Amino acid sequence: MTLNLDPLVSLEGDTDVIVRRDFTHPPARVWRALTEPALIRQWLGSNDLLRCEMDARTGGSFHFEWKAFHFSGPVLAADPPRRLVFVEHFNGDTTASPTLTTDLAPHGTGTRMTQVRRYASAEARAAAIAAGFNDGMDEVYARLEAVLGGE
Amino acid sequence: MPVLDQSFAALADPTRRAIIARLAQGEATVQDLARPFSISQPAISRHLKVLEEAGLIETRIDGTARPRRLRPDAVAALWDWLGQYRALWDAQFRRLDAVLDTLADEAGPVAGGDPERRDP
Repeated sequence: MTLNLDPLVSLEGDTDVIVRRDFTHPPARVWRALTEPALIRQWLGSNDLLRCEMDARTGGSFHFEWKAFHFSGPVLAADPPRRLVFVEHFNGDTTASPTLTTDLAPHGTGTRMTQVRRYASAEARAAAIAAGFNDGMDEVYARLEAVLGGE
Repeated sequence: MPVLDQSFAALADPTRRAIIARLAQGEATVQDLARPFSISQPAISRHLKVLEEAGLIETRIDGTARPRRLRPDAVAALWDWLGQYRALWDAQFRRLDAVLDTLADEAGPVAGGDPERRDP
């Protein structure tokens, strides 16, 4: 069994961003960590996360909020512990939101996660990637600059 | 293909990142770009020059207008460049690993299957 413990992120087709990652724990446990707010808070950012809500049932919804931005949206489908599908609105903008499909498959004694972020169009994906450089990246840049500056 | 080091320097400035985000929506003139920012058109033009030299945007000549647009390969370049930040995603997944380890400790070792499996 080969584990991909480095997240593999790729652009596929015109509209998809795909993240693949393996976990050493079984799908039921990964499902809990991805869907129970008390657990989400622990890995998504416990101190700076102002609001952390997730109702991972078909017809449910989620809301993750930081000081300057939030992600929220409806849960379109939930099939524990195999598949979770939700729409991700950024800062309440519902016009260009990707649909995220997270699949958890047994992989040896662990889990192989495949997360597909599908945008409505190639333009929507390009805009999202470009926006990623605009929102909340200052700290990241400062850190990277510090690293590069140390070379 | 844009030079990544130069792309990095070009994108280290928040105004230039905002310009990139705006151009991802479609081409725009200097006037269009200056409007949402509280800085002058010459200042915007300087930012555009840096982005153009980094290979991220290009100028289209349309009569007397000079609209700027993202270069077709710029998004791919940005994406490659973002790969440098895989460490950040990696850190998030490693925290998730730690949460999973905690759950396993809570449940204790149980032979023959996942103790947390709950049928609906």
